[in-house]
Amino acid sequence: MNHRRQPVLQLIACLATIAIVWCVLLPRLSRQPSVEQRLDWLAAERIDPSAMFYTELERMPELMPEGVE
Amino acid sequence: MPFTSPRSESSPPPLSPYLAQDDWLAIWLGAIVLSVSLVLVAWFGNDVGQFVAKPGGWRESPVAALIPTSAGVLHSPLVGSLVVGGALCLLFAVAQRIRGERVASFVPAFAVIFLLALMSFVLAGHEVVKAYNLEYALWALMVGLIISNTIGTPRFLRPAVLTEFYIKTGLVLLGAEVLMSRLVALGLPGIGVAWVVTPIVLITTYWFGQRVLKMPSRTLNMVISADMSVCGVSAAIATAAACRAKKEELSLAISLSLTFTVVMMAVLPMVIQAIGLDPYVGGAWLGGTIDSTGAVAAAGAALGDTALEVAATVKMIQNILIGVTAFCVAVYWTTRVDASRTGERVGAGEIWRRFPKFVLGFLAASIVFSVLHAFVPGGAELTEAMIKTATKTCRSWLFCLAFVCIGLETNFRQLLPQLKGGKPLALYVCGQSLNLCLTLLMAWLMFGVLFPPNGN
Repeated sequence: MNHRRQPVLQLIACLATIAIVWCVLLPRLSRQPSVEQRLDWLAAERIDPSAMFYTELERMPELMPEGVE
Repeated sequence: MPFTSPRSESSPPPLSPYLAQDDWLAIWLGAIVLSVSLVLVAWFGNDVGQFVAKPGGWRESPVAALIPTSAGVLHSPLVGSLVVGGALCLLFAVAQRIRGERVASFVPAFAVIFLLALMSFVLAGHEVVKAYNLEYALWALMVGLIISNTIGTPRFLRPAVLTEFYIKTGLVLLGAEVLMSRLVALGLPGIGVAWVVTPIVLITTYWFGQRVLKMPSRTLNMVISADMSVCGVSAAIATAAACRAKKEELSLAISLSLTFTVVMMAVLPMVIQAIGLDPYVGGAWLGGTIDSTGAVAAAGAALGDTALEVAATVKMIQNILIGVTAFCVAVYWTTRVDASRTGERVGAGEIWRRFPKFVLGFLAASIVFSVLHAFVPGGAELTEAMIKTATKTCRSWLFCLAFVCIGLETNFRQLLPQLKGGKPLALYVCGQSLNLCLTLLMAWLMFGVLFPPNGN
């Protein structure tokens, strides 16, 4: 019985870990002054460091040299 | 599990291969998405973007990623995501029908995988996570892996686990973002840093992996070499599909790339400041070496506006090289690697049969939209609006769905042999070291010696 329940318990443990990290730890971390300052700076610069391709970078059009469309 | 047709052996194609093979179907689906997006943007302008979305960024509550306080529910990312999900479900259901699969089993499976992709985007949307360049691909992979390695992937999800199909269709959409005019954005200095160094590093790293490290897998060698030398995750996806790499090899290459990107994004600006590099040279060095576009921008911005402009533009040129790279890898694999494996001389017909056709769709999309962007009056605005409001979001959804599927199909034990002897790590470190040295040399030569910018 326990053996059969184990995968479900593992899944619940993973989901609980994700919930704690994303809903408690990361919001708390983002309120740390140094982290908050960094996040505010990135927001002010309109830079998303997780952009995969140049078209995902909001500031790209204004960063290109003059004459390049 | 290499990149092959996911169609089951028992269901032969009922129609012409130009319609039923998944490479061709990916081209047609991509063409439909691009055409519909172009028409909608031409008619309704940027308003289309309100109904084509993915979860946004958030700090305090994940609900804000789906329904931000600044937007009503109707114009929220949640509704935009559901619209995209519905449209993709419809498109792929039709494709499945054409391929002779059951639509009734596809739709509910797609709905669940779509929700897992939605969850992955929400996880990737936390601003601290974004700040460290931990892209959605990583979280989509994690979500899929958690399910497959705990309760196992439920059988009813299988009909919508179409990894290659999502990736190939996403790559056709990505082709429209590869605008050739941007290759010459920085003139000769940009060509020197991006066009000369990138292929040299790619080929040398691949050669090093084969001859010196004796990598057990050619495809893993190629995917790591491309993602390290070209532009990270997007290059890894394109080359993995072009050379039919195994899914766990793509996962490994992306994990390596993201790990090193986090480190390089923090360390390289400090090194540049410590050695007092000129912002043009420093920016070009950042753009040519850090894998991910967003991380390049964050590192460049830390050095000032000039470094940011040069870094982002060099990286953009490397992004455009993804098309040439995918095409060359597909040609090399079809004509040399596959032929040497079978030991037979293969004719043109056989080469054509083996060639991954979706690469042609990728190149065709790039050529069509490059021409539209460069030569048709009003084409530049239309193309950019189409990409910004519709196709880049659809492409992100398709890649995210693909990475959830890779996670659902991967067992941790399948990843272990790839790590044996630490060869992938050694390959990445050696290749990136060469990249750092050559790019710095070329950046200094181009921006410091041969073409110093005015006032520099």
